Amino acid sequence: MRNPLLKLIVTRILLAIGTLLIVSAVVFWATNFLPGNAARAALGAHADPTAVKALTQEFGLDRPLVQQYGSWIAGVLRGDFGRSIPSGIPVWETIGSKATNTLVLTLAALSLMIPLSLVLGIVAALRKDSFVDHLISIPTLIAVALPEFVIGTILTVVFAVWLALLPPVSLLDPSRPMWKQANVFVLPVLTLLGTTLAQVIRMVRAVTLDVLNAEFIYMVRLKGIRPSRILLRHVLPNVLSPTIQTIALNAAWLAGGVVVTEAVFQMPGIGSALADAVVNRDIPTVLAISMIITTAYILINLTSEVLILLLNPKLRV
Amino acid sequence: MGAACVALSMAEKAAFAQEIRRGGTLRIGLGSAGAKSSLNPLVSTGDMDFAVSQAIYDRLTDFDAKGQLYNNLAEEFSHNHTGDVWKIKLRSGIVWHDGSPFNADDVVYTLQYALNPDTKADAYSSLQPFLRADEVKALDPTTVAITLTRPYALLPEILGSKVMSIIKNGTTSFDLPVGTGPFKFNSWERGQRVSLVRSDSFRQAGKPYLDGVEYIAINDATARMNALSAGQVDAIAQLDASLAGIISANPALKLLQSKSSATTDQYMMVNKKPFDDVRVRQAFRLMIDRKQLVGNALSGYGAIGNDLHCITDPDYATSLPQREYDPDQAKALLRKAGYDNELSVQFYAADAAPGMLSSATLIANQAKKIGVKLELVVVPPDSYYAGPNFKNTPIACSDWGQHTLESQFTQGYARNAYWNEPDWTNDAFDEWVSKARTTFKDEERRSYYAEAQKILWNEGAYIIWGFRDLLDATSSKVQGIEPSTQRNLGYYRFESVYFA
Repeated sequence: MRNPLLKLIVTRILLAIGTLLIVSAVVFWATNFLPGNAARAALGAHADPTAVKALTQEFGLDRPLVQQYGSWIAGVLRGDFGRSIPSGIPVWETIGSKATNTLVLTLAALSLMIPLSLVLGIVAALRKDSFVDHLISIPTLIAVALPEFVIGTILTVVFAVWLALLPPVSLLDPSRPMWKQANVFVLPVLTLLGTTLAQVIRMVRAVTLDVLNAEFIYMVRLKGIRPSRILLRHVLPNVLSPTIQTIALNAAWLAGGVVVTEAVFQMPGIGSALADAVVNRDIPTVLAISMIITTAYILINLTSEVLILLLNPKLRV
Repeated sequence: MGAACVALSMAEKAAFAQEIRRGGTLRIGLGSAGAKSSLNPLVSTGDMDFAVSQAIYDRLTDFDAKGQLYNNLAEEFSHNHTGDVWKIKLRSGIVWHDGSPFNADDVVYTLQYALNPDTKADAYSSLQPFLRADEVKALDPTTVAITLTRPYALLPEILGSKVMSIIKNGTTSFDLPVGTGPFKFNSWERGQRVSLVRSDSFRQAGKPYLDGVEYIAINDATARMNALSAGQVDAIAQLDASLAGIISANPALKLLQSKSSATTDQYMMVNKKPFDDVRVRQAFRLMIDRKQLVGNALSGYGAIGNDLHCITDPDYATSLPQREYDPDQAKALLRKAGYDNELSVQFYAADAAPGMLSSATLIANQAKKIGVKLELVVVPPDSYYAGPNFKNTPIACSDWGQHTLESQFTQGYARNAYWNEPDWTNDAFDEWVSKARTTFKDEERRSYYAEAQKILWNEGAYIIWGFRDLLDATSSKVQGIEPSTQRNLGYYRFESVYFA
C-alpha cells in the first residue's frame, strides 16, 4: 500500500524540480525583456546615461543573458540566492521578514478558512432552503462575485472608518514583535477569508447535498445509526475528498493572490516585494520570490494529492 | 492698515512663542524607494530618503520657503573680479552629531566626493563642467578656496541644490549617518521605516522642539490618506490632488498647499516632422486650453504656465504676455506650414507623473478640435524613460521638478545634454545663458535671462501648460510647517515644528 504513495511523492519531487527550472528561466528572460535595467532603475528616471552605463557594468548586467542565468543557477546549487541589486544585501535577508509576514497572513487565513468552510457548508446543506441556509448562502454568493480589493475596501470602510476598531493601513513596525501588533493582521486576513471562504462553502454545500442523497447514506440511516455518527463517520470523509481539491486550489491562489490584499493594506509582504522588485528590475529578488511562490504551489498540490490518496482507499490499489 | 497687520502678526508670534510645547514624535507617511533606499544624501533615491536627509544634513546655502537663496553653513562668499577664484567663509561653532566640530575639511571632502565619478553622486554632472577635485582646498578651519575652470557667478546657487548636502570628512559608509542637521539618526528598516531623534547640539538654540521624527513608508496615495485619517501618522507628503477635498472637509486635518515649479509638460522633437517647423510648434502651443488642463489634470491645484520653465525663480520672465487659447490662429499657422489636411502624429505618454496621462488624453482631445490627430502611445510608468520611444516619438510627455533657471537650462536646454528632450538648440539662447551665468550684477542677469526666455517663448519646443501645487496634509495638531516652493511638507525641515 505504501508503494503507490512513495512512487507518487518521488515522481512529484522530480517534476517539481523540473517546474522550478522552467519557471525560473521564463521569469528570468521575461524580466530581462522589459525596457530598462536595475542600474537605470536605481539611478532614477532623470539619470545621467554615462552613470547608468557604469553602474550596469558594476552590476554585471552587461554580460550575456545565458551567462547571468547560468551563474544564478550555479549560486542556487550552492545555496546562494544572490544579492538584491541596488543594495547588495543577500536576498534572503531582504525578503526574510516579508516572507514571514505573508506566511503568517496566509496560514491565519487558511487555518480559519478550512474549519469554517466545512462547518458552514455542511450546516447549510443539512438545513437546505431554511433561513440558516439563506443566511449562509446569500453573503457567500455576493462575496464570490466581488474582487478582493472591493472586499478589502468595504471591510476598511466598516471597521476602520465607521467603527474605528481596526487600523486601515497595516503599518507593521519591524522593531516590535509581531504578536503585539496582531490587530494589523485582522482586516487583511478577513479580506483573504472573504475571497476564498465563499468558494469553498459553495463547494462543500454542493458536495454534502450530493452525499446526503446517496444510497449508502439512506442505507446507514435505515440501520438506525445516530445522526452525529452518520455525519462524522460517513458523510464527512466523503465530503472531504472532493473538497480538498477546492481547498488546495484556493490555498495555492493565496500564495500568489495575496499581492492585491497586501497592496490594499500596504502590508510589507512578498507580494508587494515582488511588485517592487519587478519595477526595480532587481532580478535576483524577482527570481527568489517566484521560486518561493512556485514551491508553495507545488507543495500545496502535492499535499492535496497525498491527502486524497490517504482518504480514498480505492485509489491506492 | 499695513502697520496694524504687522503689529498683529508680531503679537500672534509672541503668543505662539509662549504656547510652543516641546516634545512628541512626528510620524510621517510618505512614498519610499523600497529595496533601493539608501541613507547617502548625495545620491537621490526617493521621497523618504530625501526627507530623511533634510533632517540629518545641511547645505552651504539653501532656498527658503519663497525660493530666495540664503547662506546656511556658509557665512560669506567672496570672489575675484573675473569670477573664477572663490573663497567661502564658513560659520563657526557648528558641531556634527558625533560631537566633532564642522570645518573646511568637511566641505572639501564633500566636493571631492561629489566630483569623483565612482561615487555616482548626483551633483557630479552639475559641478564637473566648471570644477576639478584638486582645485578645492581648505585654507584654514573656516575658509574654503575654490578655483573654477571658468568664470561662474552662480556658484552659491549651485551649492544650494538639493543634492549638495555636506557630509563629514572621511565618510565612506552611510550606515550610521552623521550630519549637522536638527535631527540625528537612530535606527532604520530599509525601505520601510526611519527613526530620528532630536540633536541637542543643533546650532539654532532651543530647536528642534520635537523629540524625534519617524518616517513610515506608505506607497499608495489613498492608503496614506487613510492612515492620516485614522491617526496612524501625523503628517503625509504628496497628497493626491483628487483627495484634497476630503482633507479640507475634515476639521481634524489640515491641508498644506504651496506653489512650485514642478510641471508635467510636453515636448516636441525639433528634428522630427512636423515639429522641425517652428510654426507647427507655435500652433500646438496655441491649440491647448490651459485652463481646462489645470482644472482637469491638476484638479485645479496649480498655476497656468506660459511655455516657460521655473515659474518660481525670481528671474522668471513675468513680463512676457500670457499665451492664450487660440485654436483659429493655430489652424492658420498649420495651414501656412503646409498642413492643411488632417495632421496625424504619435504622442508618447505614461502614468509616470501626477497628471501626465490625463493631460496627454486631454491634449489629444483638444487637438481634435482643429483637425489634428494625436495617437497616444502609452507604456507602463517604469518603462517610460528607458523604453525605445523616449526621444524618438515626435511629441511626448515629460516631468520636471523644482529647478532654478540655471539648473533647468544646464540640464534641459544645453546643447547635447541628455535631458534636452526635444533636442532643441539655439545659438542666441546659448549666448544669453552664458552671459547670465558670468555676470555678478543681478539686474544684468535678470535682463539676460529675459532675453533667453523670450527666445524660448517664441521658438522653444516645450508645451508648459501649468505648474502643479505641492499638496500635503497633517493632523491639525501639527504646527510650524511652512509650505515651501522647493519640496513637500515645508521642504521636509522640521526644526520649528511642534504639537499644539
